[in-house]
Amino acid sequence: MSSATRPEILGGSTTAFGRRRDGSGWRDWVCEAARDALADAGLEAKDVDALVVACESEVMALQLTPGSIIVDDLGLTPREVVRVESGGASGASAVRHAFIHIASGLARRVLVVGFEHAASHLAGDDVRLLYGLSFDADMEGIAGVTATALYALSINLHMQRHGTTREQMAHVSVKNHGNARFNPLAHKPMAIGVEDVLASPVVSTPYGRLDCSPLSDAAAAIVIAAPGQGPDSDGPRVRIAGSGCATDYARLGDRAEPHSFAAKARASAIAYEMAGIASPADDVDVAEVYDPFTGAEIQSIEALGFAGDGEAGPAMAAGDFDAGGRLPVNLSGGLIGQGGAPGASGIAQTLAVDRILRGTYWPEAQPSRELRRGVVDTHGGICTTSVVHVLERMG
Amino acid sequence: MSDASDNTGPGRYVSLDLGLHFSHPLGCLRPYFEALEQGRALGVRCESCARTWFPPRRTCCGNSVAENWTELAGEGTVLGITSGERSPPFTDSREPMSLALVALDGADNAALGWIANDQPAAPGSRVRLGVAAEHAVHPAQCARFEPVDD
Repeated sequence: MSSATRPEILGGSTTAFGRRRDGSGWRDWVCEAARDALADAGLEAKDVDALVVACESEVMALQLTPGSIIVDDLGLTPREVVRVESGGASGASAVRHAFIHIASGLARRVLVVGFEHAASHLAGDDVRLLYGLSFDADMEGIAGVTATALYALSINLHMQRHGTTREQMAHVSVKNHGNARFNPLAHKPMAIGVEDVLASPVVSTPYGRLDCSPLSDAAAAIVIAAPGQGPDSDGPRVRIAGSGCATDYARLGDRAEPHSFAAKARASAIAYEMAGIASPADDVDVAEVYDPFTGAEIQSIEALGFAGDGEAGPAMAAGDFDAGGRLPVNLSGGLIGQGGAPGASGIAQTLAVDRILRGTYWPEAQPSRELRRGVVDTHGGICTTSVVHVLERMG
Repeated sequence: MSDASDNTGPGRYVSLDLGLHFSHPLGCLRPYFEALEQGRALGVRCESCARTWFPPRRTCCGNSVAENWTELAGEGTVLGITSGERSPPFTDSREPMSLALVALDGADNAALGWIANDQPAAPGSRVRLGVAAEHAVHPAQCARFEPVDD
C-alpha cells in the first residue's frame, strides 16, 4: 500500500463534551454528529458503504449491540455495521477499522461514529466501579482497583525511576485546561496555575483532582474514504499515512517496566514506519495525546518518541509541548480539557489533528505556522491496547 | 427495575434502578482465590522458563500454566503505593485504604493489594499477605497486605 493510496478524511463533526442534562440521550448525540459529519464531507447517507461504531460500555449506554440500533437510526440499513471496543482507544480503533475496510478494498467510504454516555446519568461511584471492571475484573476490578489507582501507581514508579515531579505533571493540567479555553466544545476550559493543580484535593497520590480528566458525555463522527472517492475539495485534504496497534499485559504487575507504556512505543513504531517517519521528535508537527491523567501524558510523550525516557517532564515544564512550543500537544485540551468520552475521544482527536493540519481548527487554537504531519494517540486500559495514527496533509 | 420521574432538567428523565444479581464463577482460579481467603499465596510456575507468577497467569511461554500451582511464603516488597479516600467495593467497610503493588518473594511479577492507611508503607517496605478482609464479598478483595515487623 503506497502512501498515495492511504485513506483520506473527508469530514467530521463532534458534539460538545460535558455533562448533558438537556433531556437528550446518546442516540440524539450520535445522530447529530453523524448528520453533521456527512454534511461536512459533502455526502449523503446513501454514499456510505459501511458503518463502524465505537462505544466502550453498552452497560452505561443501557443498550447492548448499539451498532445495530445506530445503523437503523442513521438510515443506513442494510449496509454492514460493526461495533468495536478497546476501552479508551475505542474511537481510534474504529478509525483503524475504517482504515482496514478501505485498505482491503471492501469499502470506498466508511462512516465512523463513536459515543459514550458516561457522565450525567449514573452516580460517580457507580461509574468508577464500572470503569474498574474494564481492567482485570476478576483479579483487580472486583477488588476495588480503579483507573485512577492504577495510573497513580504507574506514575509513582516513573517518578521513582526518572525523578519526574508533581510540578512537571501540573504543567500538563495548566496547558490542557488552558488550551480548552479556545475550544468551544470543551468540557473543562480553565485558566489555572501550577499552584492550583498542586492544591487540588487528593484523589489518589500523587494525583489531585486537577490531574484527572473528567468523564464526559459526547459523540463524534468522521468520514474516511479511499483516494478519489470524495467530492471535490476546495482545500488540501488529510490522509491517514500510518496506523499502528499493539498490546501489553493487562495487569500492571505483570509488566517488566510498569512505569512506561511499551504498547504505545510499539504501536507508534508501526505507524511511523508505515508513514515513513524516522525521527518523530523532528518529523511530527503536532499531536493529540491520550491524557486521562497528567502523568499519563508525560509517559505517552516518551513512548511516542517525542522526548527521551525521563525527559518529557522537564521538557513539559520548559514549554516544549505548549501551543507555541516545538511540538504542540493537545491543542484541543485533550481529555483533561476537552473531556473524556472513550467511544468519542479518539474520533474527536483525529478530527482535531485533521483540522489543524488543514488550517481550519478553532481560530484561537489554530497554530500560525504551517503544519504537515500530526499524531493521534489513544489507549485503553493502562496502555494495555494502544492505537496510534499518523495524519499527513496532502498538497 | 423501578420507574419514577426525574425531571430536574429541561428535558424529561425516567429513573431506572437496575438490580443485577450475578452468579459469578471463580473458574480455574478457584484454588488461588480460596488460598487468598486463608491468607496464603498460591501462584503458578512455568516449567519451560521456571518463572513463578503471583497473581497467576493463565499462559506462559505459549503453554497453559493455570494448573501448575505453587505456594509462596506470602512476604514481599512494596514497589509502589497510592493512597486516597477509597475502600473496597461491595463491602460494608468504609475504612480508607491504600493500594500497593507488591512483589512477593519468589514471584516474577507483582500483585496489587490493599494496605490500611493506619499501617503506612512506602516503596521498599516489607509486607506480608494478611488475613482475609472481614467484609469481603469476593475473594479478590482478600488481597490485603500488612507490614512485617523488623
